[in-house]
Amino acid sequence: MRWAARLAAALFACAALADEASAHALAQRYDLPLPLGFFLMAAGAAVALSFAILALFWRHQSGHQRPDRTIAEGRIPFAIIVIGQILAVGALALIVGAGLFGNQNTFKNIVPVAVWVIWWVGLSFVSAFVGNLWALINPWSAIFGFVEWMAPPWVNGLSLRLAYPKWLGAWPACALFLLLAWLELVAPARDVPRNIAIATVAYSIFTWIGFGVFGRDVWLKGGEVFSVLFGLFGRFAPILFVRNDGWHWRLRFFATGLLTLKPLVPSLIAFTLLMLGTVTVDGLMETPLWAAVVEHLLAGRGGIDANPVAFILLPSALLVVGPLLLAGLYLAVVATMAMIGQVSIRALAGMFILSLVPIAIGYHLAHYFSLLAIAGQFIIPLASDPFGYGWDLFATTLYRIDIGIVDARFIWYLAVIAIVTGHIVAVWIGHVTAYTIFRDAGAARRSQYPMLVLMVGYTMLSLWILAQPIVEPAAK
Amino acid sequence: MLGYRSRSGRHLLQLTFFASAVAAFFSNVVASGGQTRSEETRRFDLRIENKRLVNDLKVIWVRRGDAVEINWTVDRRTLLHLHGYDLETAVDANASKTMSFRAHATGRFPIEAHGEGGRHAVLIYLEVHPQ
Repeated sequence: MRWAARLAAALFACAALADEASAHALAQRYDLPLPLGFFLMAAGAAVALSFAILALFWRHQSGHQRPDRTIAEGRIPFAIIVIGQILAVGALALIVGAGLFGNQNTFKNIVPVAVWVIWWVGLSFVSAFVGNLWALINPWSAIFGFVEWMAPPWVNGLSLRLAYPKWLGAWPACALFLLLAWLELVAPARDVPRNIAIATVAYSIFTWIGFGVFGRDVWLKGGEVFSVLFGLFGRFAPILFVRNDGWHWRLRFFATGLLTLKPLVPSLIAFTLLMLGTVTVDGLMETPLWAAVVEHLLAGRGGIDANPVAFILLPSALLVVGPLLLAGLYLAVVATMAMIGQVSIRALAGMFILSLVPIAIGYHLAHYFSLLAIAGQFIIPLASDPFGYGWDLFATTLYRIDIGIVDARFIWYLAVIAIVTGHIVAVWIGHVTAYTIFRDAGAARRSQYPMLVLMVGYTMLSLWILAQPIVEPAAK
Repeated sequence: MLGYRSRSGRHLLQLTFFASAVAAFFSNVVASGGQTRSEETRRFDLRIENKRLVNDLKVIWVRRGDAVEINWTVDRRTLLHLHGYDLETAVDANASKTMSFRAHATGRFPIEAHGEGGRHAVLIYLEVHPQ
């Protein structure tokens, strides 16, 4: 029980420490709930288009042209890669330096906005809608590569290159992602610059140990959580970056990177479900329903103020239960499909999981766009004074945040278009994948019915969350 | 061998156009519901007792462009903060003070009481809707 007491004490201390920071959380969003008219329009369009896609596509079973073909390709100049990597390494150094030695006020230090808004949200958008830029500029990979390059020839690389256990797959990345999601969504004092810097240093050391033990490329695939995450988002993007005797770019149609001919391994299926689940849980935590659940559970114990540990444990539990619930539903759907098509559950689970990614990306865009547009503006004054010392390097410290930069109506249109488009693409990916797996057209079509139910359900849940007013549980 | 279907891409494009047309049609229908109206001055009287709002209100609802005046009365010294608009008003115990501003930006903004100790509870939300 001693460890439990210690954990409770630590969480209590964090909660007390977090008081000031959480009251002015950087990630606070000011979105108006999606009005009923927009909600009905999007929901109706999602259902109608699902059936339209089925009706349109199911007859077309033959063809030779792959949708994921390359439209254009080229080599990326080495100098651009080097410049990008130097900037990324500089940003990493700035985050660690400003976090450890700068002003600890959330809004006077560049770290919270640079990490949680520009890098976390912004780079997710870039990965999904442009290409997986992280693969090119990953600062941990760049530093390791540079040190390896500088090492004398007799050292023969910095890595021990121990055999990476096959069963381990991307499970380290899964564990790290869950931890990261907890740090982003639940952890108290997550906006305190020093905490972010300490986490960054710890993660840097952990990553370099991973590179050193198993080799850089191996760890980037299985353990470097951001490479796995941005790589997953990047499958949707029109540009694919490939390292093959230098870096190359390939232009393709949107979302065609989600079409796979090889099933994903179980750890990557789990990672994808974790990503989808946490994106949804993030929205769910801001709904009145969740606030009511928290208040109800804590009501008999003196309210939120009297239960700071429970106040942290409840969303932590949701963070675990949410993705597990999604995984259960997904596997149930896949099991039904397996019965229809006489194909193994494991193969189907690995093939269809990517078809859910566009819905998550649509929701992600709808949920986070205004945050990027509004909170992202903080980077302008903070660039002039990253440490909060009172500098004015670029004469931008007096820049005032424009909260009217995006109108609510624009956000509503964006939400509807993003969610409906994500849904259409998801249904299409599911359709193409079904015809890839099932030789019999009838089985392919029938296999999509349970998947369609899951997709419509997931889309409806995303829309429902957006239609809820953003609240936080009230203290008694 | 595994093969993709040839006309899928073209049909997807057709569907996307169809969806866009449907969305554009409905968005016009939805948008036409919100006729432009003249800007008003909206006044609200709110009283805080024991760190909670006495009035049975959870949301203040205004239109973009409205002039908003919130008159606060408190039972103990309280610092009120309207997030987003970033307005702060300190009100002394058993006194009143008015928070005035023009609602130039749409959104849902929490108003918190920054008292002594404890969490900074949201008292009420200000919703600024588009015209």
